[in-house]
Amino acid sequence: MRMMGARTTPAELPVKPGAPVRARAWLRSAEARHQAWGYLFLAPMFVLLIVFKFIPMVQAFYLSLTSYDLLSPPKFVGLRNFVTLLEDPLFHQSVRVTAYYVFGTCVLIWFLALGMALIFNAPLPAKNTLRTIYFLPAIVPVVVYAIIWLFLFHPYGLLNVALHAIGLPAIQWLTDTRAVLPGFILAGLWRFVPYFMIIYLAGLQNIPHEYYEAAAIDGAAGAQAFRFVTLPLLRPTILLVVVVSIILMSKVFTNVLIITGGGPDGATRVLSLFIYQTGFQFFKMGLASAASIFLLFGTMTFTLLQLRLFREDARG
Amino acid sequence: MMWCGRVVLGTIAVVAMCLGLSAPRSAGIPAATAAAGGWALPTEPVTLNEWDGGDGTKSALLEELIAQYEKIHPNVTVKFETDVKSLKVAAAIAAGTAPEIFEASDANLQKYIAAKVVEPLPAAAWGQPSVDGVVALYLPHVLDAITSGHSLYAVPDQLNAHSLYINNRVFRAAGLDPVKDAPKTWDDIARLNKVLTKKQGDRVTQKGFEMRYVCDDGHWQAHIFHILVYQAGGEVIKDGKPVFNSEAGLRALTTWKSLVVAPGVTNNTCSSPYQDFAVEQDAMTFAGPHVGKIVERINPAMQGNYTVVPLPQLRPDRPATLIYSFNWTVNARASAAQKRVAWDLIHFLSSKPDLWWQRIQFLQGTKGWLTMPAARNTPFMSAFTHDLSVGKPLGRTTYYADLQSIIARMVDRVVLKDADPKSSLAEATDEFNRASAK
Repeated sequence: MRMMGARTTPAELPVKPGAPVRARAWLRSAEARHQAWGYLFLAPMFVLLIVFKFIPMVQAFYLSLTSYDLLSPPKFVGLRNFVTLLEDPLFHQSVRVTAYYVFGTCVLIWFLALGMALIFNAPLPAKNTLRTIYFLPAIVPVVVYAIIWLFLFHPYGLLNVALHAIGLPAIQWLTDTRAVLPGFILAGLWRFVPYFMIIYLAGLQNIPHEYYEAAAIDGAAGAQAFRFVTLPLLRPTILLVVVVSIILMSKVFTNVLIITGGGPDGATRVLSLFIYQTGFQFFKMGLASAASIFLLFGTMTFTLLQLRLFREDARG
Repeated sequence: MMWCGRVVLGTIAVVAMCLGLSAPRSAGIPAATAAAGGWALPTEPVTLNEWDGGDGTKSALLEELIAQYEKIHPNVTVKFETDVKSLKVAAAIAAGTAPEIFEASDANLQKYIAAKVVEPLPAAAWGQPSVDGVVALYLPHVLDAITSGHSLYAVPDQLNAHSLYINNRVFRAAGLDPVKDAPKTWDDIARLNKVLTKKQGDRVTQKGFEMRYVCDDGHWQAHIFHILVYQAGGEVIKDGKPVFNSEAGLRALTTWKSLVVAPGVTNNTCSSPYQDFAVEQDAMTFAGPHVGKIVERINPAMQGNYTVVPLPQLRPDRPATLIYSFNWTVNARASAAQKRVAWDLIHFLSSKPDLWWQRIQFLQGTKGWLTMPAARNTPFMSAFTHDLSVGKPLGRTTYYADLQSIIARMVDRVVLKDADPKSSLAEATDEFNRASAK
């Protein structure tokens, strides 16, 4: 007797001559009905993905091969936009600024978030309250986050007051081209370290305590337990943090637009802002689309690279 | 021809007084204006969408006038939306969902004209036999930037020339008289900066004058650079090509640098660019006629606490400034009936300069407004009219958005990074040539 919930497979169906007949029979089967329900439940998400992700991506790729000013119909220009980008010093500057910001922020996030997760994973008084307070910057709306940092970056803002208090000279956070990006990295850490700390914390709490007990019996504690138990078992979480942080940081936009608008002298014009300005301010949508394709492939390459590196590491 | 010549205040006043009498549409127009003679309006129901980029003060007046128009024309419904950014307009044009009437700055309009997305203004809607007749209703040169060939594409809802606003209290506290000691040159400003800038330790608590560095599109920097180049006898753009890498451009940048106090010490933002003047941190600022009301709204204590004088010059014997406008345009994709009503509505809205001036101090540049009691009784009118009379439009290019961003970066290099002005001018020229070749 068939158990409830067990599915009928096509192999179990009576074989009838003729393919259409077989197909009709299969369509009437429990297997087909089961799959149909699955697809039905997935359909809204597929529609959203197709309409708001895949079609715009394909459209952006098509536009990247055209000269399009938003106001008149696009004209096909082949790869000219990509060549223009490769020759454009402003685009090069944007790539450098984005790379500086992404790696400047991400590398610090990986270590600081892990450090904070380890602290909050340890037995602490009022741990949950402290975690909640620490997590607050991650849930502040991005516009509020930008305005808070606009005040902090003011020449007489809290950052310079703090520097003054420890005897350091004030920094012109928003007008010094050397200081402005480190300032943004600082702001990025304030917002994103708590976010990734929570992800690490979830990973840490998923590690069964028995492993640590076994390690302790073998004489491994403290740093050794961290190296030989925590880190290997945290590898999937680390991979997630690395991939997600790079993707998130490479999309930085709103706070830069609000705080500096890409200035001074393009020192904070990240790729997303370059794309926005090229497309919607300068009406060069073809060029903006080419830059967005570049950003997409750049992010994808890094993601695939990380997945491969971590996979090989796992095998090794 | 569009660019040449500056008209002195006396000429404007005389011409305005003469033409003002023959242009009753400009002054004291009754609320229920009918369509101009010969401009037939459809009788079937017509719905129009109008997008405006203005703030709450302006939209209140616009809504009021639109309601009046709908009352006169019961078959017309106008769906009005305010605070619409130019980005939304561009995206809507691309998507084919742009409204029938939208506001465009003179800077953006060149692009719209080139792409044929805006409709040429029909002179008949103004009761004129030709566009020249419409142009003649306005002060000389104020429509230059929105004209192309023999076609006019819009009329201004707001026209500005920058003048100098002075904080009376701060001036008097420094032993200065806001009228007698008002700066006439940028050198005077630099001198006053030394007197008016105050510090507590290393902290700048008050400044004399500072340029504005807000807004990611760089439009403030582009305005001031245009003004300084014009005052130095040069041009920014000629026949679509950059010509600012010149002696005039160099003089503009070196003058700019001489005026810098502490650019980082500011609470100005793109949406509140007059904040530092309004809260009395800056003793002077440059702004158009409508800004007095904005400043008073931010800080009511500023009411009666400022004086407006003509903008400082490089050479007072050869004064120059900039005129720029925000304009009502009609979407070329609107239906014939919608276009007819749209132009009639714009004519209706633009034929009440006294109301616009009295209520929100928006100046639309028609000749008649100078003779109106509302204008005559306005404080500092001589300063506004002087700056308007020596105003020249922005550099005319379909790459204006690129240009202003390039100018902003050039200014950043010179002002903030201490770069050599000559090489910055050359770099900016290269950037513009590359941008216009893309």
